[in-house]
Amino acid sequence: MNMQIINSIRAEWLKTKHSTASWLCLIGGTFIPLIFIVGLLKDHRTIDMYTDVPNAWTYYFFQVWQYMQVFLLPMGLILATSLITQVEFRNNTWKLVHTTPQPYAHIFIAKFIVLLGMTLLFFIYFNISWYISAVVPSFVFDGSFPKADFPWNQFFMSNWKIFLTCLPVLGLQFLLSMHFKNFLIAIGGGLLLLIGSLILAGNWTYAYLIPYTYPTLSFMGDAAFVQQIHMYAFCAGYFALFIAVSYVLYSRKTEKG
Amino acid sequence: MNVMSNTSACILTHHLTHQFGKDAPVVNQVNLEVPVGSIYGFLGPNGAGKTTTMRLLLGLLKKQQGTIQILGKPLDAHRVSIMQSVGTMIESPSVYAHLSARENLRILQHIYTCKPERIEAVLQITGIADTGTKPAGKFSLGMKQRLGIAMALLNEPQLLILDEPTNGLDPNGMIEVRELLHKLHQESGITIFVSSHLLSEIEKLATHTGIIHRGSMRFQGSMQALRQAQEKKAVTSILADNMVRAKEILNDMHILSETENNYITISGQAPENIIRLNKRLVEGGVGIMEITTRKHDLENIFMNLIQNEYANH
Repeated sequence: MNMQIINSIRAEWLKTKHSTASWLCLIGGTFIPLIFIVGLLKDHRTIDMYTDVPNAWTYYFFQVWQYMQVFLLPMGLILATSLITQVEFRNNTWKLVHTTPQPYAHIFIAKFIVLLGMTLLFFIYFNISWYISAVVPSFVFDGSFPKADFPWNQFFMSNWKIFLTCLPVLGLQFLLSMHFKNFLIAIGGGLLLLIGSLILAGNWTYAYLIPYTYPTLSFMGDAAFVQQIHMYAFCAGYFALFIAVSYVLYSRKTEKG
Repeated sequence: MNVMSNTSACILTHHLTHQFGKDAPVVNQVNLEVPVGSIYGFLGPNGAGKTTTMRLLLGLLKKQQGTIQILGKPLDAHRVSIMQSVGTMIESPSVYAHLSARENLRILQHIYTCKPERIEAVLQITGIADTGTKPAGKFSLGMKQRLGIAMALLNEPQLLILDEPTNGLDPNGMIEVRELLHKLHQESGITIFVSSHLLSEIEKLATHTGIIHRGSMRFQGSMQALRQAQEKKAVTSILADNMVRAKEILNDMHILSETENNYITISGQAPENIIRLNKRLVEGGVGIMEITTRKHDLENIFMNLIQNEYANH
């Protein structure tokens, strides 16, 4: 990666400063863990009290994630992608971006990397606030950390798999937001697909063909089914397809601002 | 149309043509030639094709026909390196409303990889250094316009392309922008390509001008050439006590004349010729009762140009 593209990414990242997307990322990432902190403090409980499961950390992780994964996470991705990508349409700045000395491919890649970076930041906010939500009640009531060993491998693998299920949503939302000036097309289209996938996920055999069903299917936790339909391969495939189509549409645009 | 030498052209287009859909071409066979170091006023009424031409020059619209060379390089093959030396502001200023003036400039500083000191320098030049952390979205139109110009100047461009930079400004703001552009031109020798639909603006600012109407160039050349055209179109009317003798003297001087409403009219005479003519008439025994010259001002010439009168000059 040469300096030119790094500079493009730095410039793109600067655009997220003070933006609604960065606030959405922070609030969206910490919202559910904060509710859990309040709940645990109110009920005078710590995660050490989850005694009926082999690992309290893992149990607590999925307990918090389940509220995020099915609706809030895809919903947040739909909104954040639209906000980040449409910054040029909103400010009428495509004509500025396209008259700077950057190859079109760099502009496209920089925008997408910033989107991935914001998603990563969302995961970091979530995981840190989730950890705090587990530790703070223990400190308050026991004066010590939770007793069980922290399952690092499982923690990272779970995060990675959830991130993979987000990729088709990110890819298609990025495509819609880059291509259509009207943000309602990206947000409306995303919401329709999300609601449709929520309804169909448990009711239709081939629902896994809808790119927005993967966070739900992952939440449902049927590992055999996930493996049988090669869900993660579908995630990667859809993601690659959407990004490729998005780049072709972007680079072939006859009016660039 | 006047033709300039292309040996030192900063912008050179050849038969540039563009049409939207199946409509008539918005830009039709435009041959622009912007000399290095000039302030080139690109003049035309609203909808004449100015912005479309400028968007083509910057690659914002995909070129359909013709060629574009900027700073001696073809735009198609060298867009990125050309843009390193070009500053632009097309239509309304493009600013990120949620960021301050400095943050807007920092975005471009990363891309141009210019020194951070340039940010303060252009803020000082454009007079918006005291805007602090105020988001650009809360700026007045004049301040946004200044920020747009600051962004265009950040990379110390060789060529500045500005589309109606005084649009929406009050008279004081218009004078300030004009003075700023003059100063930039004089101090750094930068070539400025500026569009406007206001003849008075271009007249006060430009060294060269191109006039476009309905997508076609109607005039291109120096402001001096345009003023000469103005002189050529001056009409002198003479009222004398002996009109027959006066016409004879004019014929002797090989000056074509016509009689109109009891006046002899002659056209395209420089002031020194009128003095000489007056002297000859008096010496020839003709009593001059009235002699007046009605010049075509630039506004008249502009109106005539866009109504095709000068199309073949």
